[in-house]
Amino acid sequence: MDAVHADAAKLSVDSLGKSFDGVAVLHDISLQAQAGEFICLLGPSGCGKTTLLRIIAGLEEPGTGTVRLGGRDLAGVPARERGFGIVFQSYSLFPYMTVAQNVGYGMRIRGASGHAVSSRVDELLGMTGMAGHAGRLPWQLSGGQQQRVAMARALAVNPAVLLLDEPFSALDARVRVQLRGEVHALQRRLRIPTIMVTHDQEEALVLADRVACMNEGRIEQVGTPREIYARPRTRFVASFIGAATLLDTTFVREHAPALLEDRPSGAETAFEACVRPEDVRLDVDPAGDARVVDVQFLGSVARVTAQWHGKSLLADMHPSRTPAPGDAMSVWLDPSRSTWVAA
Amino acid sequence: MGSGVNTATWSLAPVRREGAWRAVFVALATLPLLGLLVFVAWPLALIVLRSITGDDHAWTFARYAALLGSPRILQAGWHSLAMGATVTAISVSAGFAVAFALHRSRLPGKAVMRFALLLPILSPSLVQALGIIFLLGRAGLVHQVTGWNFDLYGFWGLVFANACYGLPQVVLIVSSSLAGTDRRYYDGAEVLGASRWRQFLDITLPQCRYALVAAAFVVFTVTVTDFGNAIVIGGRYRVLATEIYAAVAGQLDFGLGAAIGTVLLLPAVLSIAVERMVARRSGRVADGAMVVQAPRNIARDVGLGLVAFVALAPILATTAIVVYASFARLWPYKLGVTLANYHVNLADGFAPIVTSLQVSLLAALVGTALLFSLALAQRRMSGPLAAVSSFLALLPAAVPGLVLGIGYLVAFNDGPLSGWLYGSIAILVACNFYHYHAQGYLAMVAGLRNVPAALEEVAQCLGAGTARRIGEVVLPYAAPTLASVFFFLFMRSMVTLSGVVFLVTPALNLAAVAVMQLDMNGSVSQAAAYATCVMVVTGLAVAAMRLAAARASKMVKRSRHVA
Ligand SMILES: Nc1ncnc2c1ncn2[C@@H]1O[C@H](COP(=O)(O)OP(=O)(O)OP(=O)(O)O)[C@@H](O)[C@H]1O
Ligand SMILES: [Mg+2]
Repeated sequence: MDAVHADAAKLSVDSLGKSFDGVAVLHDISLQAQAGEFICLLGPSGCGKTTLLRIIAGLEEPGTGTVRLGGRDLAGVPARERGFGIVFQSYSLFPYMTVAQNVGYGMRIRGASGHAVSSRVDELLGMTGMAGHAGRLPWQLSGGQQQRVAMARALAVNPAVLLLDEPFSALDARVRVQLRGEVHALQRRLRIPTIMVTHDQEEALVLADRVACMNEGRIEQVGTPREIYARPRTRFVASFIGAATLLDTTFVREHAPALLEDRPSGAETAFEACVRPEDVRLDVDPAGDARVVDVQFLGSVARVTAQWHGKSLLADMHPSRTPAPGDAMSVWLDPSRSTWVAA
Repeated sequence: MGSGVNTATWSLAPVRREGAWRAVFVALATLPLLGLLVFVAWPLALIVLRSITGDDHAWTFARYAALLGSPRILQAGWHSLAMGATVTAISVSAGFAVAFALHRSRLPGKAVMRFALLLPILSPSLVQALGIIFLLGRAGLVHQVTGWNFDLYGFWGLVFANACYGLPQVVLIVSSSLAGTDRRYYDGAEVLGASRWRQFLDITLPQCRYALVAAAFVVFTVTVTDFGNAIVIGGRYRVLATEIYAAVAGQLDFGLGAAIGTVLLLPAVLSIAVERMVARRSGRVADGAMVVQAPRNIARDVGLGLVAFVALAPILATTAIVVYASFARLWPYKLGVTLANYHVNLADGFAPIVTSLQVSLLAALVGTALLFSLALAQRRMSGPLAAVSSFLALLPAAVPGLVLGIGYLVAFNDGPLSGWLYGSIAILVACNFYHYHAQGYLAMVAGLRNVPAALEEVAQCLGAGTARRIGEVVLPYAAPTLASVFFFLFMRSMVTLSGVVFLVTPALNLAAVAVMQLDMNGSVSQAAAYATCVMVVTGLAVAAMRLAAARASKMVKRSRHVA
């Protein structure tokens, strides 16, 4: 990464490491967020997403590495002087303050006049659809409303960066979809660089400009949702995002040699071919070498599991044309649509 | 059963069993509720009744008029108020600082702090008073070394002893609300730019305010109704509690005792009301709350360390000095080690310790069983029965031990139950158990909430019988609670003085009372020796039981995995 690039990046995290009591939980994390960019940190539970977010916020000291904002090193700048906004999954709002007091808290701390605070609070409550609730206490609100208020509170101080730690995961599915749409629109409009932690891949793919896929304290891949899905670079990313069948090199050489063409050179076990279910074509063929073992109806598609030379192969088919378990099928894999991932 | 319907399918079976299940709960509730009526409601009613009737059984407020007309009583009342307010102010502010040091600092030595806080709970209630007499009294170590004179007996000595006792209770109450505060409140405020001081004002204080109010009421009540310290160190500073003791134990004037006792019910009733409000307001700790980790701050830790030292060192010092003095040849003049003080001038020697052990074990065993069945039954009760049952269960919290003891005197001295209660071990067991009934009950109810209702229903659908259900589903989850309620009742019974002090007889004495008697006879060193024995016995018993409980809970955990 060259220096020019670093300055252009609004927020930049460089080779960050962190350990708790001698146990390393983050290794060599580097990540840049451009102005107005929405980045999702996606990964399984315990992989260090929250820890990374807290370090960026200044709530946790980095072990090694730096966090910069517009080129300025934030080491030694306490969280309260960074001017960020943060929203947690729960426990975001102060339980003894009304909605209006919560939203105005950051401004009052900055010494804004009562009038300025109340007009800003009104503006934000309007923006987040909470206009009628200014006098309520947090426990009088639903989970979704609480998160709206938390968002308003974070935005009230015009944060330089918005940090969201699984803000929707305590909500039920419908509210979650609705709220993430609103957050998306709001972020687009205000163009605040945003980092959101989630372990919901759909959420990440829908919201993010770029997704950083984390596993065991490392970022395995950063890319647009399309890149991450269509061109996963590691076995973990391929299997964590979307469904995939992974085929080892020996198997591919024997049964689908066409895929070998764009295999990177390397040891036999270094790479595996990743094929997405929608890129597998199965045709009913009494002479076929695959056999259907299971058909799952998923609404718009049917997901067929076929036994193919000892591998479980996933394929999506149109639900009107699904085979029955036991049917023999022939397999066709599109070489241009398969990827080789590091095993 | 016996419905005559032959088509009984398996789906009907649970319904039929549900009837039996309910019957079992009624049976479970009967004995505990009966006990509460006989040992709490009745004595209490008698006291209030006695206070508003004359010796001729006619209605009269003459006893209250006599109280108000007696300068001696009015002065004692004023003293009680002043002393209670001072102790409350000191205990609450120091207790809050200590709780804060425990939960919001990086101070080392928190184990020592916890140990110091445990001491007043483990030791007979006079130990702190004895300790300060050994230290600062006329024949105290400080006087011996420096020649300084302190006027220890009176207001300040009493305040000190009561504050030592009140402090741990404040720490306990405030700690639970400090521990329940989620880290993300602080994180959120920090990111919004709040300084540490503002975070304290905007998060910590609001989170604790109800706990502080509750703690203040508890300490005030305990202080105003405690008379052990008042007798040992109060000197001529008379308070209501010593007046009541003199009236009842000295002059056998139950009428006057009943009137003062009824007056002393007031702050206690008030404190219950406040506590319940607090419990409702402070809310539950939700799942997955993140523990607050104190940021590094040397200045804060040094400050808190100093406060904690000033608050806790006296507790440690007084306890240590009591143990030390108990081995001294002639405190404070000859400090050579001797066991002479352990030959106590009591007719029955160390028998009271054995009696205390018996009483405490019985109170803990019977009490835990009764509380368990009441709490279990309460889960299935509804409507007025549930309300009455929980009112009765919590009523003892509003009854100071002193008042309960007088109530027992009035109720069981004569009358139908006196034959087998008066002068028996049973009345001591009952007094200690019902004195602490409310706290035990609350713990039990909270513990039973951990039993997943779904699991119970699954067991029911599988056709498990009632006994099996309690044994296999409820018990494994409730075991830790049962153990802690058992310890609580045992420890309280070992060391508590109020209540039972009115009920012991020369033939049947208790350890905590024996300490007071030795002190009143002027055998202060022997009192120290006796108190030391009680502390050692209680400490050992508690350690042994904790060990057993730890082992049991390991087993329970294993069986829970299987389930
Ligand atoms: N304060 C701490 N002290 C010790 N270990 C910690 C601390 N905070 C986090 N960890 C550990 O660091 C690892 C990463 O935790 P982190 O909370 O960042 O995970 P996460 O990706 O946010 O997980 P989740 O999806 O469950 O929220 C975990 O193993 C966790 O136990
Ligand atoms: Mg997390």
